[in-house]
Amino acid sequence: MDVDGIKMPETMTIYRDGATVVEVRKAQVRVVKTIDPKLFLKNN
Amino acid sequence: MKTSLPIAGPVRVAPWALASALCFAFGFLASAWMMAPSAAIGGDKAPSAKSIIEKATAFHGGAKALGRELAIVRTEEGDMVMGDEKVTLKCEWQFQPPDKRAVQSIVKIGALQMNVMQAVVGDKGWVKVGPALAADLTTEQVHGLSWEHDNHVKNVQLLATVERTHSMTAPSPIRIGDRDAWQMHFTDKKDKTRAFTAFFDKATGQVLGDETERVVAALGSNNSR
Repeated sequence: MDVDGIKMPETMTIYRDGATVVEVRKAQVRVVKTIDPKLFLKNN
Repeated sequence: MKTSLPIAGPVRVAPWALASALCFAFGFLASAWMMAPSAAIGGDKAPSAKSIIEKATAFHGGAKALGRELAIVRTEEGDMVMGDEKVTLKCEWQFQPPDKRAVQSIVKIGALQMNVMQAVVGDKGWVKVGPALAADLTTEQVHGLSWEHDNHVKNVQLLATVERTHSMTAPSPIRIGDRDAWQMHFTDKKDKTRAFTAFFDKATGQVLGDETERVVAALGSNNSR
């Protein structure tokens, strides 16, 4: 997928000991001005 | 690595077990967006590592585009595999340059929904499972989660700095799915644990995937390494 001029991968597979543990079937990526700072606060 | 998956079926899932599984699911040998490699092949004379990086950089948008410091949100939908079961997994990853990383994960099994929030700011991090209070991550867990986060969110942007930050092996041929590819191993010059193998399409330069190992937060009675 194209993200602000960057071709990024969409799907992803994560393995543990050779076996699939997570399959990412689809993804969306967007560039933003800033991330909500509350997400980084320990007890928000 | 020591690990166990104490989840046998949807009706027997304890919240701590699900949280633990969710956390350490991200922490092992991972092949990102790639097809299974088959036997190595011979043939073409290998180009230089530098030329492979340059070709990949051009394919993915060019050095200028890849080198930008961007605040990024990546939303993923997929499945988490636990034994014979597949459960729906949704994650949202956020990166705020230069060093703020967060991820929120939701797993649904029947009526049970588990939310796990994790964040790293610099060298400190925490994890919050469901309604419980947030707990600090160990240094090792912060390190693993940061590396995992970079692979999900920055991924091909790492091409912009890899020549400067990593030592690289000479490329060797490999077959990835139906593609002829070059594989190269990269090791961070400052942090040897940040190492990975990447696969590049011979024809286009496209990064076909990477393999790396990460350590991330483990909860409950499970340990992951």
